[in-house]
Amino acid sequence: MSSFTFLTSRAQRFIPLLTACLVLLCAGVCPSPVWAQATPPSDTTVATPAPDTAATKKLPKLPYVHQFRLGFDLGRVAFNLMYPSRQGYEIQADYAMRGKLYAAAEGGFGRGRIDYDNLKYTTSSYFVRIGIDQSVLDRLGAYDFDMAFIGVRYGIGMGQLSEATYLVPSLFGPPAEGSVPGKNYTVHWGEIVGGIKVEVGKGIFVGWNFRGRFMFNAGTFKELAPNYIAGYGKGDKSTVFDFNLYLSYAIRWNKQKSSL
Amino acid sequence: MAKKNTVVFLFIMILLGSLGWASCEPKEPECYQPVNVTLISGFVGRDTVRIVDSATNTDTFQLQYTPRRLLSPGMYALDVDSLYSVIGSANGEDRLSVPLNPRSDSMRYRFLADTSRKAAADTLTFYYTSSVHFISNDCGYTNYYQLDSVHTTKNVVDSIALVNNAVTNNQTNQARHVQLYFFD
Repeated sequence: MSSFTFLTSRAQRFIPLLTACLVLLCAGVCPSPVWAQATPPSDTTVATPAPDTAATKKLPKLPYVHQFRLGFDLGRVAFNLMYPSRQGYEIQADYAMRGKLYAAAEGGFGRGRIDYDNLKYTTSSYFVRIGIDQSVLDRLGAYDFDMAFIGVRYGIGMGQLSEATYLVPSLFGPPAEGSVPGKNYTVHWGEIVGGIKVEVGKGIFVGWNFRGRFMFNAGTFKELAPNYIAGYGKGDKSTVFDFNLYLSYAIRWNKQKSSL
Repeated sequence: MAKKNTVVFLFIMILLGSLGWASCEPKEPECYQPVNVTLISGFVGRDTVRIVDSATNTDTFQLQYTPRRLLSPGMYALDVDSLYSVIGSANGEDRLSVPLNPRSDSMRYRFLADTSRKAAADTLTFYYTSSVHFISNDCGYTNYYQLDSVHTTKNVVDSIALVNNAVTNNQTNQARHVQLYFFD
């Protein structure tokens, strides 16, 4: 079996998963990869599914192939188009460790702007996140880096808030004007992430993930919270949820012939 | 190859779908929290309950303080340029909410227990310290107040008590900052 044919067949296994998730995304529900693997395609009329030998038999130990994968978040670009007051860009990289573990790092920058009648300021920030991803799918070959994963991250973001000017409404006269001096800030947070990445071409991956973030030092912004912190989201929320769509490219070296 | 194209197609669909979820950014801020902070004055009446003990042939009088609904209470701001008034409903209210002036450290209100009886009025004076408070990016800033003391004349009102000196937008329906006592 050629490598290309193998990748194609591997991608076929994700079709039910991707289709189900697309349908259920609005409800915020996503089937587990295990379920997706066990469920035959909807257009298949097989009374008794063929036994999944990969799931029932212990897989042979695979030769170690190094893979470094670099991705760009297309979802953030879409978000930028819809929300001009919150602009951000993110890249993501991971390195395949032995087994099904991946070391992951992400970074990016962003800008925010509030231009309301009663409040005006700008903010800019950049961030770094590091963590690990654990794939829940068995690898079927040395070149099989498709993954449905869960992971954790630690993120730290630094930025600047410009001087903010505001108006406080009053029922007994004109609004009172005020200002808050600009300042630098640092926030850090933890994340839980889950999603999939599928190789659709030679070294080209597409995938998405959901994230839940929990700010560790939310008390930093008692006086004024930036409307957007790159890598985190709204600064006045101590818990936020996010969504990424990655287009990635992987390079591999020390390749050895797959055992499959 | 057809299946691989399907994966790419689904990826694009999810990308377009994410665009569909996100509605266009509103031009106006979407503020869902109260910005106008108000001081709440509750009304309390005193009832006398007579308890008869037939065994010992003794009477006991017990004083009970309970929320008092007034027929049509009203409060009118004094010493400010704008004519500001708060009139309770004709069905009766046991509290009224009034704003404070952030440009001053005290404020007076003319209080009527029944707005149809203009002569029976009292003047309530609130002394406070104001501070600017950030609510959110959508709601902006507002003023919080720390009540220092309260005073009243005693034409209709018997007395006034300060029960909660923090006037903020984080208060329940049952919250009262001051209580006005009426003894029939």
